[in-house]
Amino acid sequence: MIEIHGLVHRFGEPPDLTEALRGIDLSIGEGEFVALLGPNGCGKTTLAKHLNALLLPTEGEVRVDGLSTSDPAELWEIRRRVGMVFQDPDRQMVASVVEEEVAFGPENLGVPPEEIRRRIGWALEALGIEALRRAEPNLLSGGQKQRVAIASVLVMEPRYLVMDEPTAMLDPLGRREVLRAVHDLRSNLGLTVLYVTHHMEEVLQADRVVALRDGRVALQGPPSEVFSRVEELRSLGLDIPSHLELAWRLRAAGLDLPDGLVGEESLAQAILGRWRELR
Amino acid sequence: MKTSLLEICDLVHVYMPGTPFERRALDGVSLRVAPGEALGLAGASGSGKSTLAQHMNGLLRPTQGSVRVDGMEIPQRGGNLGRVRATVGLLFQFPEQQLFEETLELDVGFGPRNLGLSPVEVGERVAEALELVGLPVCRFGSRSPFALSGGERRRAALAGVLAMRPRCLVLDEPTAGLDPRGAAALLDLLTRLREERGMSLVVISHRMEDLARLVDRMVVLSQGRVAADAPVRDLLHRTDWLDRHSLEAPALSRLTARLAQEGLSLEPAPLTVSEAEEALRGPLSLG
Repeated sequence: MIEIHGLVHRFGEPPDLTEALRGIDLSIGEGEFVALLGPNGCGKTTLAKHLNALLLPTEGEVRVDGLSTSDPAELWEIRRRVGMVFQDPDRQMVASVVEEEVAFGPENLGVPPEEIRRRIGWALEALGIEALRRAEPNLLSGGQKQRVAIASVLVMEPRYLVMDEPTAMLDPLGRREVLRAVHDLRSNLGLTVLYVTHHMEEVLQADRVVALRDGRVALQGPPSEVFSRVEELRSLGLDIPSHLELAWRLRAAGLDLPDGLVGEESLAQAILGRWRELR
Repeated sequence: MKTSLLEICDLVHVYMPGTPFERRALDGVSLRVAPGEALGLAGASGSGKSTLAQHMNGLLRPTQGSVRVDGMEIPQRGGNLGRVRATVGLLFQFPEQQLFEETLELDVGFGPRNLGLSPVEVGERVAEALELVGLPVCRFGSRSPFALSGGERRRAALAGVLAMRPRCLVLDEPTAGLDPRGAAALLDLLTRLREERGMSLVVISHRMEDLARLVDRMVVLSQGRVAADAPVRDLLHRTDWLDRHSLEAPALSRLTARLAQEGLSLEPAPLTVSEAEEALRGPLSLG
């Protein structure tokens, strides 16, 4: 479990002081899939970097399974437990062959070669990229590269996966590949996921959605509840998937729609139900 | 028929010809863009979109076939491309990575200075371009490009292209990586450039919803060939076809297709939420 209490983060010195996080209280439970949304500059990335101690609290506290990120003695254990995947896969690649790339982390920790081989096989399989084992990372597609980046984190056997806009630079195919991989990891390995994104359609299946504004939690709840608050979402500068905006307008025009409608199919069913009734 | 601003005929582009890495990126592409027209260009990664874009202002030269910009043919090698580049401005993917000067004013003035214009003319163009992208020179001119937000940086890069006063803008994934607010501001700006300045647009995008807002016609590339060249409204409603070409049909198109499957067809097929709402009012007898 990750617990965040009264987290404040300030960058710089006066007069150029920026308060990126202004008091965040949040906990993320075992096995949960939490989506973190918000416009640029709201503090999403800053918050994500606190979860594995890439940043340390100015005030407040972050605990990972009870270990405080402010305690230098726990740093390595925290970083092993919380794996990070960033936006641009190209900036995360260091090796010239996929399996070397994936081996980089455990090799640095002195994990025995046999064990590294076992983990590489397992991680590549978990992400559906076994066939790329001997490929050159810079010749891969964006979706493949990002899955290699996830595999490199997975071999550290983390319990938490923090992903900062992992699909922002990918095409639709790559986006689908990465999203599917994340969902598989979660259901097969029970990983806890914090997923940062701008795209609401990517988080319709999250357990909980947290939206930040100006360094504070502005809104949170299950998608079915959060996505019905269209006007609040818009005021937060988030894009509303067009089928949800349509649902909201039809409801305003008098169509009876079930609460907590999230998927396209449920909207289609509601429309068809009414239409058949009228015929 | 109106003359074309951009006319591409049977264009072939081969990368690294005669080597083991030889690759045919474009394989006989033909298309036209009329003055003031907005064309969308879509296709899976590796289908040749960015290669095609680079032909539109002579950054790449045809292996075979021809590219004409306002009547001027781009030669296979050599030649002076000054007028071509003045006519077609190209904005690369993530163009903000190319900002380099200390201030916005200097950065946007880089192109005009290289044209050998007088400082007064450079100043006029910089002011005009920054005004167009909503970063007026009085407030932003002396700022560092690196002190701007992501969306502002992207618009600053666009100002650098606009300062060359092109008649046609070619944009490679202009909204990629922007947050929804930054993306919406950029799309509005492009619409205005077209409506108020009569600028032609060629927009490469994976986001069909952006194309629905911005363009009239769409070309889909597949393995270096034109797989479709059709009005955007027709194309975006061919959901199965888009899927086969690794493109993601907009949510409203998928919904429209699903309703049609059950016998409820919406006319005209909606591209926007307002159009969908309008089309549903009748069948659902909503006020």
